[in-house]
Amino acid sequence: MKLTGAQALIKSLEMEGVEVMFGLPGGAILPVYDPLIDSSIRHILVRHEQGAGHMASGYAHATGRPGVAMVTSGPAATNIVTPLCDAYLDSIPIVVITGQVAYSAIGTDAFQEADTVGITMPITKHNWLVSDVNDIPRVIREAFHVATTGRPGPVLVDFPKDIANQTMEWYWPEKVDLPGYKPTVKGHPKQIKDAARLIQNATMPVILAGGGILKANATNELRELAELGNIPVVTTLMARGVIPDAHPLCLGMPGMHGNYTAVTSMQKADLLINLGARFDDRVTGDPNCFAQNAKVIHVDIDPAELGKVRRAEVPIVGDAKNVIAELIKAVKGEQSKHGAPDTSAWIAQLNEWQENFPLKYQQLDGGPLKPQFVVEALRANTPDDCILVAGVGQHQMWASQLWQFRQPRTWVNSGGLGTMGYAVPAAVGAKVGRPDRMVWAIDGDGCFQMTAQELVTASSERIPVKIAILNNAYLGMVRQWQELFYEERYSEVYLSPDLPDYVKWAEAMGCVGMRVDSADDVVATIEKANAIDDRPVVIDFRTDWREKVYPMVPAGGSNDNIILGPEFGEGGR
Amino acid sequence: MASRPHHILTVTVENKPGVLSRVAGLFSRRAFNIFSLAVSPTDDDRFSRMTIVVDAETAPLEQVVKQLNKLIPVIKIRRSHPATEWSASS
Repeated sequence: MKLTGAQALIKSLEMEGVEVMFGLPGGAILPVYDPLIDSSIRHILVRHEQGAGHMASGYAHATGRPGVAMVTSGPAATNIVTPLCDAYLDSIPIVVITGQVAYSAIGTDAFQEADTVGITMPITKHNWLVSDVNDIPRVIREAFHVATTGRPGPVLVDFPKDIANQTMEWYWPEKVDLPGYKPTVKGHPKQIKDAARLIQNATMPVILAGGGILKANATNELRELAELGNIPVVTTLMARGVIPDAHPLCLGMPGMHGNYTAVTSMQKADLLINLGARFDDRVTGDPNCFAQNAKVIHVDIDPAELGKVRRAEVPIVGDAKNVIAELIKAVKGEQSKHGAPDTSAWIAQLNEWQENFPLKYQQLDGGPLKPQFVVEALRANTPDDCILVAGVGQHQMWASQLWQFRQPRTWVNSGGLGTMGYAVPAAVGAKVGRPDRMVWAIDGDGCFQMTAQELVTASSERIPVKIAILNNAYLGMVRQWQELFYEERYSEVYLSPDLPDYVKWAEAMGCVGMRVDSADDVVATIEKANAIDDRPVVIDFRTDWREKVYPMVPAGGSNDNIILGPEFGEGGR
Repeated sequence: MASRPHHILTVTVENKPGVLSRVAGLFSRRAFNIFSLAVSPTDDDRFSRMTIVVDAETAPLEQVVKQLNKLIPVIKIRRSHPATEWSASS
């Protein structure tokens, strides 16, 4: 069967099981958009290429399957650089296809030429420039394999226009042959035995559960290990929902804006069991002051994460699901010989901290609307399996802190890169991947203005996402830092609550727009929004600009110096 | 150069366009200093050999080797003096 390069590309995507892709056509990718008309793949036409990348990422977060985006060369390729970098830092499997000028024209500064492979080399797991029409099926096969196996991540395939128009004899490669790529899945048995022994001998252990648990689909194994050893679990920003927040062993989020108990549990622990987290600086604070009393077991599928930030007594390279399952067997073996270790005094101490140092805020009757109140009201009025998406900033931290997560893959956010503007397109992608679920985004007013135009995409494609803007008229997190660390010298952080008019803007984009100024109207408005299922909804919640995110560990400081906030009086510092 | 602590790595890579750029880019992105770098053919034209002398102070050996191994065109890394070998799966 003879196919053009463009047809072979689309057919290869179909062979990979792609059901939907997000994109925007243009000159160099034109040939590929023609066979797309005859394809089974649904294409969602975005309004900006950054939106396509974040939609692919939101889709991947929510479904666990790779998200696919396709855009043209030059400015389109550079517009998708941010989503690639975002997915790289959060290990999200996305496959991005970019058009490229004709292979023969590369290097001539042709119209809309950019060195896309060069630009994206450090922010993709791997990338390819297709140089021969016969390579297309092999390259696409390799791209999906690399994106989804080992430590997942974004990949990019750069596709020159003349190659799209050449013809090839169709084939589909039986297997992938990459001699330099062999992820280690199984943990070393001796290391697993050593880890079980450390767990057996610990009296103050903590599990630090990271995004790797989700990528490995290891939530059941995580829970079994925690319950088996009676070991408390903290869940990083990327791992919210891997164990229900209501589980008695779940301590919630650690880190710069983590709760006191989660942060302090690691500071005091005698054993830290890191399962698929990477000791990010937002979790460790000053690494020299982090968990100083703890021995460390570190499980990661990426060997380069072991020893990168913190030396582990027992490093284990492997897939979290596989390694934890083996670890459970080894721990059971230890327990059958020596009995279950007693962590009850430790758990009692943690429970006391939870009681004394909870997350606190006050919504006064008739007082300004508190953003935390909106988050809690949303949680209380949405289903257990509702997918929550966030942008980056104060609203993201309140959402992560206060949302009681009940299921895995119900939390979509930009962790490592901290990409403002992530929420709207990521919510669209999540809803496309899980049309059966309610999808809410909690966004900031600053974030919303960066990518709101993708609500036009959502309206025209009938993708009914719901957006709650916590509108405090500021770049709130920056304002918070200026208040606390720059002597209240506010520099370029004011945005205005009324400009733009979010309700009118929402309506102009085909959404339902609503506004809430008072706590009394919050629940009724959320209920109204929940009842709308044929178009997107935007609610402009006018929240108190004075509110800050607490607790807080100042950047680079020790986690021991956690600031609890004004609700705890003078002792809060 | 000889007075500063250094590692000598011999890296077998796929003989494909852009591989030198991937390796050099990795060193600059991770803030590892290179003293010298040479690329030569091997008797198998599918592969090339890179000989890289790196600054041991800016480039902790374990991290350099692990990060290099993550590059998909990197097949094998060997350290001279003392001789140690890592393949792509380790």
